[in-house]
Amino acid sequence: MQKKQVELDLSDFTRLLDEEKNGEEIVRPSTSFWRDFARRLFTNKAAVVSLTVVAIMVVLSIVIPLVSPYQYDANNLMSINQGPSASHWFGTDTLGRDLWTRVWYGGRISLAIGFFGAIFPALIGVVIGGIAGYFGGVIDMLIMRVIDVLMCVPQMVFVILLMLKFGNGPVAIVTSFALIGWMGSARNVRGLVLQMKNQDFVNASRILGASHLRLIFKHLIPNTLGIVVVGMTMSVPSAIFYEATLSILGLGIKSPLTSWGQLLQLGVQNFKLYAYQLFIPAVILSITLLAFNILGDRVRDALDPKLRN
Amino acid sequence: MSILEVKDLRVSFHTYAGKVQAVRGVSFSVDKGKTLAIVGESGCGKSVTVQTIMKLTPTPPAFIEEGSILYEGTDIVGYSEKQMQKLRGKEFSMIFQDPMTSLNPTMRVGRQINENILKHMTLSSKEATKRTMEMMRLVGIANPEINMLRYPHTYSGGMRQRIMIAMGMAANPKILFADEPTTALDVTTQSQILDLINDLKKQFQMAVVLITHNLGVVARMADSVAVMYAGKVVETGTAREVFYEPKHPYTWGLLNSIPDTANMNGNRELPAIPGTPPDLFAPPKGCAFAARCPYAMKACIKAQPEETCLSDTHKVSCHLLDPRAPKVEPYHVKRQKTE
Amino acid sequence: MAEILLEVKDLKKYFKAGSKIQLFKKPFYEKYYLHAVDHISFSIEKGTTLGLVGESGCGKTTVGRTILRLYEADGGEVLYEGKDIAHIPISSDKTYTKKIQMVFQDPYASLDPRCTIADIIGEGIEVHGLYKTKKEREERVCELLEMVGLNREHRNRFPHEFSGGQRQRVGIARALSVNPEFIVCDEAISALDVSIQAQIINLLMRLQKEMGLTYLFIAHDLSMVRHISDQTAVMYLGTIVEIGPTEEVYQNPSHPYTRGLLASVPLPDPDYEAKRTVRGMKGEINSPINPKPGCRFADRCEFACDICREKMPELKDLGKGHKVACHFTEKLNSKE
Repeated sequence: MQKKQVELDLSDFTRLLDEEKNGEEIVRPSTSFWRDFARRLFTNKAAVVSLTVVAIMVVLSIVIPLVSPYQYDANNLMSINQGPSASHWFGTDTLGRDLWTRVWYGGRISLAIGFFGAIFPALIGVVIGGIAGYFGGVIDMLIMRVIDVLMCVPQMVFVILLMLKFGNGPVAIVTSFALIGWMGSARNVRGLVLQMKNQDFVNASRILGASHLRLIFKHLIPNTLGIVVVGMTMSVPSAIFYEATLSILGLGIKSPLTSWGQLLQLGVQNFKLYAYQLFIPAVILSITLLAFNILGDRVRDALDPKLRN
Repeated sequence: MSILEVKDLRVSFHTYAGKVQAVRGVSFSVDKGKTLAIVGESGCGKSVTVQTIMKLTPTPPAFIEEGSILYEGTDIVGYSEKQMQKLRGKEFSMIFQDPMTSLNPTMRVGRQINENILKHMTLSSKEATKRTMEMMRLVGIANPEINMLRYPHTYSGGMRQRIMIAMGMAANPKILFADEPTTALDVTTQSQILDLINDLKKQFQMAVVLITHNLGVVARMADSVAVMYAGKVVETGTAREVFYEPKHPYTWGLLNSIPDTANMNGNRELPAIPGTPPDLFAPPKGCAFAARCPYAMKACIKAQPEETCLSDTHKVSCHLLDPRAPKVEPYHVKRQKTE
Repeated sequence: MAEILLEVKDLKKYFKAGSKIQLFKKPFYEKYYLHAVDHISFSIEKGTTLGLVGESGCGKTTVGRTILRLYEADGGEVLYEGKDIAHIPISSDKTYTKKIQMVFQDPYASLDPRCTIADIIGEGIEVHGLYKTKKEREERVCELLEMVGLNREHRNRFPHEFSGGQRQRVGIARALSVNPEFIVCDEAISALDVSIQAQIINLLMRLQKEMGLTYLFIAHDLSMVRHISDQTAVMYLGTIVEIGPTEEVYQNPSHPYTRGLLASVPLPDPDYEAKRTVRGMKGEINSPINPKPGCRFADRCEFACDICREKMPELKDLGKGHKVACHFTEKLNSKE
């Protein structure tokens, strides 16, 4: 490589003034942790694609039931079990209900269960785990033993028991998820808080006179949020999946209310004669789950490049 | 004759945010049986330089943009991983700042040294064990029969560094790279390890490339010195040239920053270097030190200074050495009272 | 003589380090304690600096953290302006958190990565309610930033965007935010580069002059301690072996450990280093777990006799406040 020779003349050899120097300059643009995260996420192809798929599913689920000429629970015995056509894009079911409307109405329920079924347990877990990790000692021991005991009970049994108690609407399902799902994130957060609570930045706040609440909610929990968000994105698909399983078994959402799981259950019954009633919701459910799983993976990579592989 | 010669080495890290030019044209040479010390602040590229020579930097993200690394006259820049493996351990060996990360915690130290010997020498396992004990005695560990059966975590930091040196020395390397070998150690232990490296160097006529930021260590160990700043060598020469006739303002700054223990007078301000080193993500067009240099001129921000040879060994890159530049007061050498 | 701001009396801090049961030996059940700080006493006058030096594991950091009440003292007193604060838990006390502050060793771990610089520096102001309006607080944060030589534009940036020296200055600004009287600098410069160390030392000394601060300066870099300290204390395995006015300690080191320590420091002068013959000492620091009786340094000391292994020497005054804990001080000094 040929270096460019800059011509210098005598006037260049005069002393610079202090104002002309900038020794404390920071040239890199300012980014916060979350902005940096967003940039890494949005530069990843797979993440963008899966995020788009999720967004489409969400938008369709919200919009279609509103604009559709059919009601999701309106029976029409004149047109039962019709295959996909111009008037019924996804066909109709055994009671003549329009499947296009029902699939997206079911999407509302399934996605809502997915989101809330992921957020609530995480929230409970963060608070309980944060408290256990921060205070330690007897409090920590008690909480951890309770978690150990709860973890021993098979989750399915737990959910079924809770649903017997609360009924089987979507709210009941989310509630039961929240009651059983917080243990995992509580353990994670507790572990991280235990690790972090003796770090110098926490000590610094302690020396400044910060209260327990301030230490937990201003310093410790924000620093665990990365892991919590990863856990949350990962548990959205499993919540959707769990609901589908329950519904297929006949324990979840009951007709006329619908969800993807419930559509699958009806589809299975008529599978031999009207396969589309099973395949259409199955494909949509699979695409959504796949998109969420890929998204969760990429979110983890983007949050902490060190966690990769 | 120089055993290792690095010419105009440039290394960049390709990150998602762009290219970081970690090493921007570094040249130096090391003679057989001599010690070269590379001094500089953290982030100045001194570790990257040595890791590049050892080919320990992963590609990507690190790329050698240009330059050559001559080992006994052959350019090793294009060497494959397999060829490098032959060089590493046998010809080159390296010790690190934190010996714990380079020792296998689940393996007895004797076996780790042993493996290293077997990898590079054709010895029977009995001979290798004998050599292991010999090496441990050489680095000052008494009772190697017992001590070789211990695990790394049962040793103190200084002892672990001795084990690392024993491992590195096992195959009689020609060059020892020491990357801040004593930074994590206490002064008394540091002193012991430095003595050990010096003894081994004399005994085996080995070349040592020592990376450090401690100028006391440099004075104690080095035959020649390369001062690095922002990915470039700004001044290089023999230890006496660099310590007693330094010509680069950065070297002056470094030497001045050390409190003068010989004559103390109370609350005197230390002549510190103001500011912070530049970000090599976007290095300045001119001299990288200009923003912190008390003698900076317009020329310094316009163009990078050329290297000026003051003697066969002493080379400085600074616009102040241009005949047109104003004369600045020379650096005042601090000498210690001899005991 | 200025008034004494902080006095440490007979401070003791042991950490549990496990226990063991022996079936065939006595004692049957033995508990292990790490004697991090073993009955040490010193005092610091207002507006001065006490340097505390020693190798890692000698308990100097524990002393600092016990004064700050991050650890609870197991015995002894920490008198701040005559009042014992060692047993007031830090979480229930607002008076002394405002007076005693700390600058940490690691500028990377000591700033919360999720907070902006303004949040970090403003935390103490917020906790103690020092400024009522948001604008006043903002103004104070900028003022603090400029006091430590950073631009006010930096306040909305995050810690990871700064270099080590800049972060350390943020740490100092944070400590200053509550207008403290006493600052513990725990290895505040040892993670920094040489040129940056000098900046920080200058800053600390300037602030001391301007605000009348008192420092406990914990470090292992002997030359920097000499530069900044009025008094110097040398610690070895939880005990103070030598303490006195800095120049006294450095010019006439009277404990064999202090001498060895000073002889180990390499100086930036090649000719001097080449000629130098007396270098450091042998061996390594012993384990601080259940230490043997007698002088802690006895195993490494070339002058050690039987009495050193039996009886722990007490600090003896050599005059001018220079105290040494060694059985053979007079003998050693007369030899030369």
